[in-house]
This record gives sequence, C-alpha cells and structure tokens, in this order.
Amino acid sequence: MNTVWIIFKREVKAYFNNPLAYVLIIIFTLLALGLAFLTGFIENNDASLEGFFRWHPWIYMIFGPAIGMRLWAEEHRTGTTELLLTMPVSPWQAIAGKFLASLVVLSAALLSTVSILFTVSWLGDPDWAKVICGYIGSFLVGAASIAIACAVSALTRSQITCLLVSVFICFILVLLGYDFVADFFRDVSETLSSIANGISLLWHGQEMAKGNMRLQSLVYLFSVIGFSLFATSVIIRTKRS
Amino acid sequence: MSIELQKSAPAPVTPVKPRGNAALFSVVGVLLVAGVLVVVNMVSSIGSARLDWTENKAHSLSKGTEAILSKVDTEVKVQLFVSPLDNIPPPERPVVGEVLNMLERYRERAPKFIKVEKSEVPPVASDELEEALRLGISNQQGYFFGISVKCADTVVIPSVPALLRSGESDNMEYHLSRAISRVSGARRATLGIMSSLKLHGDPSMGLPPSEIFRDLMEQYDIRIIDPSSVKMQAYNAQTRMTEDLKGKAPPEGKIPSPGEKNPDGSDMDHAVDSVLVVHPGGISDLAMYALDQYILRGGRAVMFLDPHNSLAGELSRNAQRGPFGGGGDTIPSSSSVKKLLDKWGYTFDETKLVADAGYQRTLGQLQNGTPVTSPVMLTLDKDAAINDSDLVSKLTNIEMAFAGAFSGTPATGLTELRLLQTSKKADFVGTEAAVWPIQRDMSNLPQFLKAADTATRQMKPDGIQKVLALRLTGTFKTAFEGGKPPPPPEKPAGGMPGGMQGMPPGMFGPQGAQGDTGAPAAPSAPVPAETAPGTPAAPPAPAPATPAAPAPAEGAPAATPPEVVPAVPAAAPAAGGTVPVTPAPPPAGTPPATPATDTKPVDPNHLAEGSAEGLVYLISDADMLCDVMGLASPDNVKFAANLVNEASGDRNLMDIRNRATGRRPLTKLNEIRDEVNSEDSKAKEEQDAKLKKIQDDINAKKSVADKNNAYFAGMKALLEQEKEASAKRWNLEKEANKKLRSRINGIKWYNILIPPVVVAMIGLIVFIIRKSSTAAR
Repeated sequence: MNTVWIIFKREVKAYFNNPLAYVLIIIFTLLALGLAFLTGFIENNDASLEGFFRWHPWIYMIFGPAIGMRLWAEEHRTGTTELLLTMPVSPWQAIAGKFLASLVVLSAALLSTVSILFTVSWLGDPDWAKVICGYIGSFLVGAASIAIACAVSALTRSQITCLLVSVFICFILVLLGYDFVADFFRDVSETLSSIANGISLLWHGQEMAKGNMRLQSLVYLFSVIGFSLFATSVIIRTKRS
Repeated sequence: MSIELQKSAPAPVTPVKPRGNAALFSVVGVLLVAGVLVVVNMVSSIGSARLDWTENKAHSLSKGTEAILSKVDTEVKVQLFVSPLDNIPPPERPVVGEVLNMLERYRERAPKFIKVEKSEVPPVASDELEEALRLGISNQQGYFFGISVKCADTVVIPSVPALLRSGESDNMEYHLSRAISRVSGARRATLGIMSSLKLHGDPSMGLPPSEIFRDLMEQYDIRIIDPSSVKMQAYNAQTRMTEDLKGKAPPEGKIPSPGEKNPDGSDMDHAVDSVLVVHPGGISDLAMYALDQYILRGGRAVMFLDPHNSLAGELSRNAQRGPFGGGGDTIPSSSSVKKLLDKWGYTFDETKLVADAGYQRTLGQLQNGTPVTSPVMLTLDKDAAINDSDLVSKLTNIEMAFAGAFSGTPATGLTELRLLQTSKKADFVGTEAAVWPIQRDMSNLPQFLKAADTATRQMKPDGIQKVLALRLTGTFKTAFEGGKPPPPPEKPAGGMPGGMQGMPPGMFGPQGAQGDTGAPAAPSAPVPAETAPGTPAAPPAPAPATPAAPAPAEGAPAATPPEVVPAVPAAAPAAGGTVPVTPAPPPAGTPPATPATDTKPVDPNHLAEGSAEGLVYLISDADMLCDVMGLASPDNVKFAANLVNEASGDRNLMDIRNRATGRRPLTKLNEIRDEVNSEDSKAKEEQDAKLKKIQDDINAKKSVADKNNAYFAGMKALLEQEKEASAKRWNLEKEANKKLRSRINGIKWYNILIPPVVVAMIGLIVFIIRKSSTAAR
C-alpha cells in the first residue's frame, strides 16, 4: 500500500503541477454547467438535477480519455515504463496508484460544479438523496471512461492515438443508450435492446441520475473499471516480458 | 600483484512464477475474465435489485401496493395486450419495456397469485385480437397497448399510452394496484357525489365525465345526489348514464349511512360510505339537512366549495344556448353550505377571492416574453401544506383558481386539522378578478391581464396565511334545530321557472326557486334559536339585522325579500314532537318576510347531536377539479381522490397515489418575480390615484344633472388618463419583464462562469507558489 501511495502522490503532483489538469477541469465545468443552464434548467421550473447529469456521459466521452491518455502513453514515450517496473513495484500497484490519481482529477472536476447545488437549493427544494445518487453515478461513469483510456494508453506511446481510440470506444458505449439507437435495436429484437442498454454508459448514468441505483448498473460500471485495469495489467506485463 | 576480483553482486534470482499467472495474464485469461464478467452482469440484470434513492421511492413498489398484494389470495391474471413492436411508434416502445418491468415487480412480490402474461396482438384476425377487442382494449392510435386484470371480475386499462400522456406516468402503479384490489374481492365502497357541475358528464351537452369522476368511478359504486331534491340515482359505468336505484329507494331527503336501519329494523338500502360535494351551487336546505344528518350519524364528507366557479358559468351559458331555444337552468357561480359552516364555527365569504403573490401561477408568456400571471390563480407547493399529513405533504403542484378561504375556529366538540394555506403575501380581492384567461381565440386575454393587474394592486397582504383546506372531526351538532326543512318547490318543465323559454329569468314571470338564479333564498320556515334541551325558554331577542336587498332598478321586477332569521324562544324538540314556531317581527326597514307560522313534524330519526364521530374535509375551490376548463392538474385529482380514499378508509391506494414523484417547482422564481413587480408598484399606485381623483370629483357633484355633465366632461379626460396610464403600465410591465429576464440570465451566467474562474485562480495560485518555492531553491 505504501508503494501505491507513493505512486499516487507522484501522479497527483504530475497532474496538478501541469496546466493540463486545470484546463481539463475548467472545460469540464464550462460544459457541464453551460449545457445544463443553457438547455432549460431554470425554464423547466424543476428542482431536479436530471437535466444536469444527463450531459455527463457525453462529456466523459472526451474528458475521461483526456485524463487517462497520459497515464501510460507518457511513460512509454519517455521510456520510464521499464524503469518503473524494474523497481520493487508490481504492475498492479503502479496501475492502482495511477488510476487513483486520475480519480482525484475527476473528483476535482465534479467538485467544481457544486455551485449548481447552491443554486438549485436556493431556487427550490431538490431531493438531495437523488442528487447524491446522481453524483455517484456520474463519478462511476467518469471512472469507467478513465479506466478504458488507461487500458488503451498502455497499448500505445502516442497520447493522441490513445485519445482518439478511447474516445471512439466511449462514444460507442454512450451511443448504445441513445434513444434512436435503442429504438433501432428494439426493432430488431427486444433482447438486443436490453443488451445494448445494459452495456451503455449513458443508460446507466441516466438511471442513477433518476435516483434508481440498480445492482445491474453498479456491477456493470465496476466490471468495466475492473476489466479495463486488468487489461492494462495484461498489456503492461506482456510488454515487459 | 594480485588483482582481487571484485565480487559481483549475486545474480538476482528470478522467482519462478506459477504457470497459472502466465495463463491468467494471457489473451486467454483476458477472454476468460471477460466471460466471467459478462455472466456476472447477466445474472445481475435478472431480477430488479435496486436501491431507490428518491424521496418518494418512485422506482420501487409502494407500501400500498405491497399491502394490496399481500391480501391477494386468489389467482389474478394480468395480461398485457400489445401490438408487435414494429407497429408501435418508436417513442412509445420503451414504455412497453417499462410496463413489463413493472408487471414483473408485481409478479416477484406475489409469485403464487399474480400471473403476468404478454399477448402480442397481430393486426390480422386472431384470438388475441378478438380478445383485445372484446375487452375494449383501445387501438385508437393504430396499435394495441392495454392491460386487463382478471380474477372474479375484470378491469381493463384500455390504453396505457393515453394514461401516460395524461401526465400520470407515475400512476401506472396506482391504476394497476387499484385494478388488482378491485378484482381480487375487496369490497367496493359506495360514494355519493353531490354537485351542480355534472361531474359525471352530460351527453346532451357534449360534456364528458371529469377526470376526478373517471378516477373515482374505477374504485367506487357511484350515486349521483341532486343538490336540490337530494334524489339519489345510480351511475351505470357501462352505459355512462344515471339510472334509478334498484330496490327500495331511501326516504326523501336522506343520505343513508352504512349500517343504518329502516323503521322496520331492516338494513337501509343504498348506504353511502362517503360523500363528495363539489360546488353545490344553489344547494337547498333539504340537501344541507341531508348532509347534516349524514355527518351526525358518523358520515364522512369531502366538500369543495367555491366563491367563483368558471365551469358553472360555462354550463349556464351552454344551457342558455341549448337546443330548442335554450331555457336551461343557470348554475350559481358561487357555492357554500353556510348553515353547516356557521354551526361548525366557520365562515366562507362567497364574494371574496384569495389573491396570493407568493403562489401565483405563471400561465405562459406573451409573444414579447411578458409572463402571464395572476394572483388569483395559484400553484401551491409543499410549503403550502401545513402539516405532514400524507394527504398533502407529498403533492407538490396543487393548482387552484379563484379560490376562497375559511376563517373561524371549530365549534365545541370538533377538532380542526388545517391542510393547505396561502403564503404570507395573500389578501382578499373581489370576484371581479375572476377572469378565465384563455378562450380559444385568446379574445379575453386583455381583460384577464387587466383583472390580474387590478387584483395585484388591490392586494394589501397582512402577513396572515389564509386557510384553503381543512379537516374537521368530532361530534357534530345539527344546524337544523327545527328538524327537517320542507323540500324545495319542483322546477317547472322546460327549465326556466315561470318564464318563457329562452328568456332571462323573471322577465315574464316570477323569480325561480332558490338556486336557479342565485337570488337570495326565499325565507323558509324560521329556525328557532339554539337552546339546550330542558332549559327554560329565553325571551325573544331582536332579529339580527340582515343586509337589505339592493334597491331594484327602475322597471325591474321586485326582488325577493331577504332571508329573515328571527330568534324564537323554544325548547329543543323532543323526538317525535312538534315545535310551534312563531317568527319575531322583522326589524324596521326590511321588506316583509313571507309569513311562516307553521307546525311541522320532526323526523323521528332526526339527530340534534352526532351519534358517532363525523369527518368533513373542506376545500375552498372547486375549479381545481374542472378539467374541462383545463384546471385539473394531476396533483389536483390526486389530492381530491386522496381525500375521498381517506374519508372512505382506503389508505393503501392513497399511499400509492402519494408516492408519485410529482414536480418540485423552483418556487424562488415567484419571489423574484414578485420583487421585480413590487419595484414598480409605486408608479402603478400613482396612476391609480390619478384615476380615482377624477372619479371622486365627479361623485362630489350634488345634482344628477351636474353629475352627468361632470361625468361626460370628465369622461374624455378619464379616457385619456386611462390610455396614458395603460401605456405607462405596459412600459412598466416590459421593464419588469426585462429585469426578471436579466436576473434569471444573471443566475445562469454566474453559475456557468464563476466556477471555471475559481478553478483558474486556484491553478494560478498553485503555479505561483510552486514557482516561488522552486526559485527559492
């Protein structure tokens, strides 16, 4: 655990000593709050944050890969991967430390949107438990997209390539839950539609934004995170060997 | 010289990794892990394990449904009839899945008794199609999507999409649970409905049954009670018509209570479990007496009274324009049960509306963006609920229009529970503010805006919240000490009492009976003053002054004399006895009352005091149930149905209905709007003062001729002033609207821009600190 902590601290410093993290957080905040307020949040006259959370999966489609792209690609590019892994550090510890550091950036981004909580509580009377559930869902969807980017970054030296591929994967996973796509699958088969919803980051995020924390959603999101990190480990080990 | 070989570091010993690790971290291992995770996900998707974070548990079956399902002890078949997905429009398709999920939750809860079946209805002749059509499942949209719930009886929900489009998406569970409760043997309660608004509809007028009626019809056996004669008729849900009661009808002027006996000891037929009274315009004394005695016998009543009802006006106008030259009855626009309220300790002023700046409703926007609001049209949120009663605490969007308010304290023996109240920014205004805003062609929008504006400026809130709804329980006392009043005179055939068909009342004949025209009641048998049984008779007190009838305009027929209520000394009548009643002479100046020296038998079943605890809900608005006028919001119907369910003792369904999330409006927007408007109120007051001065100057003239001259002379100035004042007020409205938009935009942009700026500043600070610490090194 000490090793994880050391790597975690190093990565957090690397993020926040670099303008990139701040730029990413600013862009996330602008998009999240801008899309919420400019698409009728107040005009809808509803003290619910569903209109705020529904945009998050789309934002994470880019934000997650943007955070995760440097996790391993940078190490590969500078040749420090081998150095890191020759130290008495197991791949799991390195992966965990880096992933947790990226979650700190994600958390900081979500924290920067708390102004909407003050606004909505001033304007009306929101259901706070539902809001918390929405934030948990948003965090897990964001973590899943970062984990996917982490796995892709382990494959390549180029951060741009990592970004593009991760964005594509996240885009597919988000799009599967979008209305017209869901309708298309429903035309083909009810089962296919259920499967598409089941693997859609958008659908799971929306369910949690409604305050409906399904076991299925938790299992899926943690599965994506776990599998992506496991895949990262396999890739790292394969490259090392 | 020997060179000592440096001992090299021992070669690292690479631990031999087990073969398992190599297998796990190979491609095969990845696929294996992926496969395991897929299986785990598939397993987790079976069933509906979830944690419902919503306050109203919108994603779980409610306790009410669980209570209903726990009582089911016979097999109930829930059959979903739905067209193939290809035939269903894409926007409706997700609903199929949602409904199936909900049905699956029902099945999981009671797997032994609840059977769920999905029948796909093809567009060609088939057994499924035949069954769906036989059940009345609707395919009006071109596809089938309905539910039948079958056990001993069958209840059909003919069109799920129509149900969802009506805004009742959260009440799918309510309708299903209610259907299951009904078919699985629960006793169907009887509900009496007394209303002058034809809640059950009127095919001859093209009036459909109201939303609240349709809701209650599913649950109760309905009896329609005439608010004048108290005649009771059954409502046939199949034919959608009223019909005479089968079997022995109740005695005249009586609403039978459950368990009540006939004189011969047999159970009285057609007992009513609860009574819903909605705008009983022109209610007769006999009807009030029937309600009075029903409540005294432990009956439960829900009463929606109204100082001004829009539907009554519409129905009256339609009746006037009806077939064969009109001549239909007019319905009074206000309603109250004054005698009962007086006895219960309350007053309800039928000439006053509640105006509330805190809860005023925004109805829409003009093309220039000006919001259309009125302080007499209210949207009540959770803050309007006075207590945590389930009846109101979970309803977040109750809409009232042209409501009144109750004032007073409960009489001895009664307990009050207040349910809804206004904000502290409420006041009373006259009924002239009651202008319905939206005609089809928007032709009366200017009148509405003017009335709303006038009401806003007339209001002088005193900080006291007005009571809009309350409950009374306890031992009630009769409001009819003299016993049962005589029945009202029968209305002549042809509708218009004493007049030619199609002509205004009284034009060619005497005024009609009470309730037909809203004229003050002709004096009935005088009511003796209240004395306790056995006490010596008190000397007669002078009759209380009653407001004199307005002087009739020249040429108009004489108005009926106002009701005179003399105090008469009399002991409380013993059961079965007669009461000699002699009126005291009326005060000087009042027109002579109809002589009413009379002796009448007292009903042996007449109660002076309650024999069981009664329950009454009083609500100060009936427009809220008039969906024909577009005023019955889903929460309104829920509220009314909750009250009836509570009165009937069915809490399970109330629990389900209350569980709907409803909306949580941004109430602060109303306050902001109010602040912005109040900034300009001074300017508006100045305009009004100018207009008033001109009118006062005219009125100060002594002679009629001078008055007329001044009136015509001042008229031109008045019109110009009014035009100028209207233009200024319009500009003030525009400015107020701009300020409101500006404040809302300010909220938006502060929220969008400030957090990123804060983050940027934090980054800058971190950068500066790091730079300075690096430089220091």
